[in-house]
Amino acid sequence: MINLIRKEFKLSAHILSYLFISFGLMTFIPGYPILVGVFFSCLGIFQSFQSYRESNDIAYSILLPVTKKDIVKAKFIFVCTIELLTFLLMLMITIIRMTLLKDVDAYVNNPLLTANLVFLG
Amino acid sequence: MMNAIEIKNITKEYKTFKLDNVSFNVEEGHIVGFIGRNGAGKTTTIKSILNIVKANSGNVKFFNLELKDHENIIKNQIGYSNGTTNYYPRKKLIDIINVTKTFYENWDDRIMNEYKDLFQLDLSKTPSELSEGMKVKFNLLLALSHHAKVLILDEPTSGLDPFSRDEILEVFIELKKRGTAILFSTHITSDLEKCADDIVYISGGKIVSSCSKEDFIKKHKSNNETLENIILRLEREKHD
Repeated sequence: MINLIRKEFKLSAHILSYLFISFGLMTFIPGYPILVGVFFSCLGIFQSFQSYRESNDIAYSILLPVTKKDIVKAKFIFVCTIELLTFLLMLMITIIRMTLLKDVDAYVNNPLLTANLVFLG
Repeated sequence: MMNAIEIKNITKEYKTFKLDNVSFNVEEGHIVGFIGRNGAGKTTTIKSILNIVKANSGNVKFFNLELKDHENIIKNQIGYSNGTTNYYPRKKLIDIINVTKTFYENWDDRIMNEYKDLFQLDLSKTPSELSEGMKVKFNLLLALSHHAKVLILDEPTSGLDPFSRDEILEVFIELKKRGTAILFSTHITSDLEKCADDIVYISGGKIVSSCSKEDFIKKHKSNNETLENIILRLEREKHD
């Protein structure tokens, strides 16, 4: 199983899946753009799945000594990890905004959305 | 002799095609040629044997173990190649190998390098840069490099030049001496003449004949026909 997960990260994943995690930094922007980070994280995963189809990942996976169930499980774990990493990044920034940066003008006079625990769900 | 693969009553139904009660055995240390025209059901049979497509009924045993219950153990001991390399066209071959080898307990870099030299593969290339024949060779390299006890190869010789085909058939004969069982599908009858011990002949989703090459020739031969002519005649008779 660990082999399959390693394969997902090393061979199968699209580079944008990793790059778009950094869009969690958009949580620093005042106003609604804090939500766009989540969108990019999902877009990165979407890119990986597009590339699975383009590179015939399934044709390769069935050559390997693994069960079909494990192939699906490994992909599921991959998606969870990417989303969790984005969430952790956004969590850290939210905490910074709520503590260190809570008196900054741009955040105080912030209509629309603000980064707080409710924003994290 | 023990059977490396036992296939019993595999049936798989599609809307336009039916694989009908396919049964045959592959003995240890034998090379079995699986022959039939395009669309006869060769690939469907092989995919059902490996549980890549789910058969409607029937069962498959490798080394007396049920495939359904021991999929991981069995697949670690067999090599499978489905002809051409149609995956990861833009990854380097060496990267694909490095990931693939982590899955096999018995992966042997020495053997891999031997085949790499034999097939003259440049591992820094990507599959999209390879010719069709080289893609087939790369897929074979992956199937051959982990001391597989059974090799299941779907059209391993199609797309290869006559020299490479000869080389690969030589490899098969060498592997057979070491006790490896090989099941390979083909539509090139001269491959069978060169190295097959047994012939399984499939037509229209049904096994017509499954016996040793000598018996096959004895049973179906009329006049001084070659193996190729026998099979051509059998196909023609079916359509008349």
